[in-house]
Amino acid sequence: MKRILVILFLSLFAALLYFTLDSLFVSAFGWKWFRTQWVQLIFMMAFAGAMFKPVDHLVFLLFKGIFFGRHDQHFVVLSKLARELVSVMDLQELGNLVVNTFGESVHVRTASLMVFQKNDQNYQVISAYGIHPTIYKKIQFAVDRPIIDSMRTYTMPILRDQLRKLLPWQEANQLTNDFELLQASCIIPIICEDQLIGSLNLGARSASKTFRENDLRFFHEFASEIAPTIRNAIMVEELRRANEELKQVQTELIQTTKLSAIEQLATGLAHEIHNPLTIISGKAQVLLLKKDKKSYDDKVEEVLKTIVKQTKRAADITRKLLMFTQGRGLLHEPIPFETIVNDTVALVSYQTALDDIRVAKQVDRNLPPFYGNPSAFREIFLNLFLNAVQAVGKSGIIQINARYKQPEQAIEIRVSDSGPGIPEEHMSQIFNPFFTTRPEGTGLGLFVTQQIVHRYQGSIRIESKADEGAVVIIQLPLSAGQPMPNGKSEDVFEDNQQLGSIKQF
Amino acid sequence: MVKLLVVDDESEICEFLRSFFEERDYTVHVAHSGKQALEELKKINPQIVLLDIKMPDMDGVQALKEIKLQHPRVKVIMVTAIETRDKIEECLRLGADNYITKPLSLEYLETDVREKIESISKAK
Repeated sequence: MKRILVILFLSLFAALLYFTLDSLFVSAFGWKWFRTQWVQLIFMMAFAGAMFKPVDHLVFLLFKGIFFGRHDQHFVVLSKLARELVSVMDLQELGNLVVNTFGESVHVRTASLMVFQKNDQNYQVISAYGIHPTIYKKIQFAVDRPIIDSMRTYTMPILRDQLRKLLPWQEANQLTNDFELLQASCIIPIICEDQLIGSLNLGARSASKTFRENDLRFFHEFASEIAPTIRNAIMVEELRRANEELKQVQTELIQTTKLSAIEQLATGLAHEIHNPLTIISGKAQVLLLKKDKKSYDDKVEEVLKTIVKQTKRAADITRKLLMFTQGRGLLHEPIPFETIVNDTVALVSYQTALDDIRVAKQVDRNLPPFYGNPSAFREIFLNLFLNAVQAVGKSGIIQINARYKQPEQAIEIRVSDSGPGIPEEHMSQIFNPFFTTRPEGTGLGLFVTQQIVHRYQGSIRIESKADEGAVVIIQLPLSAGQPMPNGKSEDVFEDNQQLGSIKQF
Repeated sequence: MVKLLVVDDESEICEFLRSFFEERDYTVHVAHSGKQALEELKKINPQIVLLDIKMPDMDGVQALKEIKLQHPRVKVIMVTAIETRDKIEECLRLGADNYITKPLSLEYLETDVREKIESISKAK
């Protein structure tokens, strides 16, 4: 087509030029030889050779709009895009590429991509050009919405302007609303293996302009070309989500199995140790409580008392281990945070020289009452304080804070130290049971602390930078520290408490 | 004379409990499993049973159920190294008269036994 046009143009130009020159040469100069046939032929050939390129270009410029123009340009851009998309696996990235290319190169007013979401069982706009995110992110179409049904049955691009011609007014109105919601004048279904996986929604630049049949045919081709890519990206997305869920479940499972292993160990251990301790202590008590005690000298009595006392101490250790592995503590009373902080610092100072360590304690005196097991909280402060002491080494600063945070409605405990900080690579393992960097450490301190905090529905996190120390932040929601409601459950509870206080001597 | 049945699979524990209570004028009988305890119970008809939980041949919880069913007037004091709250609650629900954890204070155990005896004679 283009070739014929160019030749036509060339002949026209040549003819015009020839007649002008002819009249000039023959009439003005009387050069009759100019009219001879071979001169005409040479002239024509020379002209054609010299002018072919420029005329070709001129024809292209003049007629590109009619024959191949816009459509051709879009074709190039979109075909290139379709090829590029094959390598894109991320659904969001893919969506952005598609809508932005339509917006910037095809010059539409709006372009949006709607995709089927398996989890929610609906269609959602995942990416848009020319529509504000706060608007398009809200667009969700149920699977039985008329517009979705229409796309599924019609499978071809649907134009808003055609709706009134094709459908009864009520249905047309319904669909027109959805077109307006999507700010589109044309909706192109994306279908892969007979499944409607989404749609490409385009808004023309102005209301008077609509898409032409050629454009629509091409958009439709484009949609079927990118359909498999989109389907793959959806699958990748689903896989990724499933994988994340799996990981989450796995982590929880590991934590709980580790815990129950320790729990089992502790329960078994306590039983196995307490029986021999009972025998040792029992036999000593039989002698100690004999009616005719006068037969022993003081030293023997002293030894027997020591045996009884030390067996009790050993039993307390296993009992303590048990208490932290068991899900619930027996006691439930207001936690005296200030006393606990003071006791903890005092207790540690018996064993470790804190001379060159500055300990700053700050406990808000107006803390709202928080109910729980005080010994569990002693354990929290002891673990965190011991860790901090270990971290600062010979000299440094340790800060212990407890305060109420109004916005979170939670009690916040902070223990910070001026130690060397925690290396990045340890951060992910720091709460794992038996993870320790100290040869004499058990690796249970932070693990047990975390378990207790979680038992009170709280959160615990550690912030640390190299050479800037570390800070442990615990938040305990007040809702988890409420007194026991009056009722039958408390009777049983008090019974146990009573037992708990008497049964252990 | 008050008759006491000590049930524990550790014979050493039974032995020191026997010598302790015999010195205080109790008649002490011993069993090493839940099954044995039920047999002894029929024969000697004690007022009080000191019952361990972890035992071969019917554990203490099962034995407690049977004792309370067959001999509702017998007082049962659990004496065990298990101190999980679930177990404590379960035994109290099944009618245990007290739950004492090992290692035990003999003084406290004796006080408790004496209290139970008193409550029996009052009921009469």
